[in-house]
Amino acid sequence: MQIYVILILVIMIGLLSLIPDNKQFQFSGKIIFLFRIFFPSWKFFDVSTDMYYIKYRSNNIIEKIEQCEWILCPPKLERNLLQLLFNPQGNIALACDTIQNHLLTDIYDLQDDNKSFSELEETTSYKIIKNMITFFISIKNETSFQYQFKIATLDHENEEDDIFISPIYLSE
Amino acid sequence: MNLTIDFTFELIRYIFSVAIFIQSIEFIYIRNTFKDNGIWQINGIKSDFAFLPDFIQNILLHILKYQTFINIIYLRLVLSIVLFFTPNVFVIIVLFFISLLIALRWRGTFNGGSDYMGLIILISLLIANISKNPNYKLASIYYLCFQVSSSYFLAGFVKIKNKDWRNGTSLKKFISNTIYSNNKKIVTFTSNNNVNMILSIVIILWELSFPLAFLDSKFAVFILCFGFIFHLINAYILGLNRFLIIWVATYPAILFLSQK
Repeated sequence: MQIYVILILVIMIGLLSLIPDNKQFQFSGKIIFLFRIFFPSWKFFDVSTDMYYIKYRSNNIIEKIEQCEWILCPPKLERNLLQLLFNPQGNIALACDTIQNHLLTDIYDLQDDNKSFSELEETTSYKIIKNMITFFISIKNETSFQYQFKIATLDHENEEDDIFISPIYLSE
Repeated sequence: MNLTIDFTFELIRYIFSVAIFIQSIEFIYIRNTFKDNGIWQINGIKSDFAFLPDFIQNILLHILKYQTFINIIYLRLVLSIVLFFTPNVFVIIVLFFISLLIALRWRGTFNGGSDYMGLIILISLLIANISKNPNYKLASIYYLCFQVSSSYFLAGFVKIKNKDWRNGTSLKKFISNTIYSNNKKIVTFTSNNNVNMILSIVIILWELSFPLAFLDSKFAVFILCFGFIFHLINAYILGLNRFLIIWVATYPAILFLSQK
C-alpha cells in the first residue's frame, strides 16, 4: 500500500512538472466555460496579480455626476463568528468578485481583438456588472438619476489606477 | 477508532447533507440577487446560452427563471434533509442535476472550489450506493481521496513555484484584500513579513504533504486537524464558509483509507 502511495506521488509530481505555465491548458469555448464544474481547478490563490475592485458613483437630478464620490461595490462587510457557517452576504460578495474577473477577461480579450466598446456592452459580464451596480444603489435606497462605474487597481505606490471607466448611464 | 466503509459513507453523507442544507438556506436568503431586478437576473445571463439550439435555450430559460429556480432551491433544501436520513440513489441524482443548474445559473460556478467538491462528493455517494457490491464503495472512496488530496497537493504545488508565495508577499496581499473591512488585529499580525513568510511556508508544506496522510492513520489525524483549522481561519478571514463544511465532509474518507 505504502509503495503505491509513493509511486502515485512521484507520478503526480512528474506530470505536474510537465505542465507549462502558459495559457495552453486554459479551456476556451462557451460549453466548457458553462460546464467548468466538471473540470475542477484546484489552483487556489495561485497568481499574485494586482487586486482589482469596482467602484460606482451616482447622482440625483440636482447634482453633477462628476462631483459625486466613487463608492466601493460591493461594500466591505464586517466579520462575525456566525459567518463561519452561514455567510450569505459574504457569498454574494465572492460571486461579485467572480463577475468582476469575468469582465476584466472580456475587456482584455476585446482589446486584444481590437473590438469596439459596443461589443463589450453586449457581453454577459458587462450586463451583470451593470445589474450589480443598480442592485447595490437600490439597496442603499438612494434616488439615483444617473450612474457610472469603473474598475480600478492599486499601483506600487498604493495610488488608485483606473483600468476602465464606463459611460454615464441613466438609472431605470 | 477504526472506521468501517459503511460508517465512513454515513459520516460523509451526514456532513454533506448539512452543507447543502446551509447552502440552500443561503440561496433562499439571497434570492433578491437572482430575481428579475437582481444581479443575476435571467435576462442578463440568457446570452450565455445563445449558442444552444432554440428549444434547449427555451427549456433552460424556463428552468432558470426566478419563479422556477427558487422552487428548485426549496426542493434542494428538502432533499438535503432526505439525504441526511437515507442514501437514496434517486435523491442523489436529483441533487446532482440541481448542482448543475446552480452552476449554469451563476455562469459556471457560484462558489468555485466548493461547488466542484460538492459535485465530486455527490458522484462518490452515487457510485457507493448504486450497487450492493462493496467494491463500488471502495472505488468511490479512492476516487474521493484522489480528488481531495489532489486539491490540496495542487494548491501547494502552484504556490511553491511562485516566489511571492514563498516569501509571504502573496499571503499578505490576499489577507489584506478580502471582502471584509480590514481588522486591526489581522492587519497588525500580517504587517510582519517574517510572520507572513513562516505562515506561507507552513501552509505550502501542509498542502504538499497532504497525500502522505494515507501512509499512517495518526499522521492523517494530524493533517486533518490542521486542515479543519486551516478552513476555519479561511472562513473567518476570507469568507470561505462553504469550503469549510464541504472539505470536512470528505475527511472521513481520508481517515478510512489511512487506516487500511
